[in-house]
Amino acid sequence: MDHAVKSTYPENRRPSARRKRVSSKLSPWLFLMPAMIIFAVYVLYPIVDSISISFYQWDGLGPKTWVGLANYRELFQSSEFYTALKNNFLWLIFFMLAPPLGLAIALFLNQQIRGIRVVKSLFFFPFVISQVVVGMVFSWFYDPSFGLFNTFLGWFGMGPVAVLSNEKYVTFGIIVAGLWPQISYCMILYLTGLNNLDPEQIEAARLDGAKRWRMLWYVVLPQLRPATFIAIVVTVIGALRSFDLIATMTAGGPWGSSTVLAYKVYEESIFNYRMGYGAAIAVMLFLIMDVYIAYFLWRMLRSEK
Amino acid sequence: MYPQPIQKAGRFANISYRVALPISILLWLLPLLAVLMTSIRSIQDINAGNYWG
Repeated sequence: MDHAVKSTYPENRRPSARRKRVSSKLSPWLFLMPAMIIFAVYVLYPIVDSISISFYQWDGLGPKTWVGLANYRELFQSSEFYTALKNNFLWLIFFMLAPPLGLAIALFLNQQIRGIRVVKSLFFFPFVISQVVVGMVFSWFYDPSFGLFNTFLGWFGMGPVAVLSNEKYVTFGIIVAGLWPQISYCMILYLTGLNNLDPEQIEAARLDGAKRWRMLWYVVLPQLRPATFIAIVVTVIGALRSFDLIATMTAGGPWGSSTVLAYKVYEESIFNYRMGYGAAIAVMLFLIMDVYIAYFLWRMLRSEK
Repeated sequence: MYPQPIQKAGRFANISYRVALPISILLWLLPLLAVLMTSIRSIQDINAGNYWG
């Protein structure tokens, strides 16, 4: 090593100990710099800017007018905000069905028979197609006049139900559409996890007489913990970010009954030219998401320790 | 491997699994198949209300 340094640098130009120390301290920062700049420009700046805009009344074009907390006051007095918040929580609760259903399908498909790869690909298909396409597909599926859903109801003697026009059912109808690709995603996560199970532990448990539920609960699920963690985090974030399906299937209707916070931000900012009010809703959504992001980071830091 | 390979299970379980597999794909992709069906039918057929033509 010493020889290499001597041959690379002439005697009078060999780096000093101080220079080496500075270089070793500086190098990591120089490598991190591009990512940090991009993160600051595309993530941190928009967050700070959105928080700042939420204190103004602004149509997105003209001058901004400082209104302080007026946007937040209006938000907390608006029934539409509470409807969106309630729908977001419904999304959050029912979207949590995706990890167990994904696990169930993964367990069903984790076999080695001819053609099983094609079957797995077909089950993964809903995740590959665009959310807009999923929205359109389910809009037709629910259609009260020629949709397959109502044809099924007809077979059981039930009248047609206009799922997307009914205030009671609309959010649940969209959540089911959202669950379709989400279950596919969780299924792939669990299939990967199942392929990485420790065969010795499984065999040892089998020799000890563990079967079915006991095997699943005490031996398999603990080994699938990383996959479960990722599945839950992605599902929670997916539920809070729900937007595309609402935009394509109902545009928040009927009468705003299926709206969520993300769609409300879009509606107020783009349709109503109320950037300040839209930013205030975005800040509220950001604060709700922060709870999950903080938990996620805490878990990650704890596992690194 | 978990679950246990279906080949090691009984003949009945083996056949049931192989039958259940295509049925489950059919049910899983039903919304897509429904749209496919709608896309190849004429507007008169659709308006007639008989889904399966």
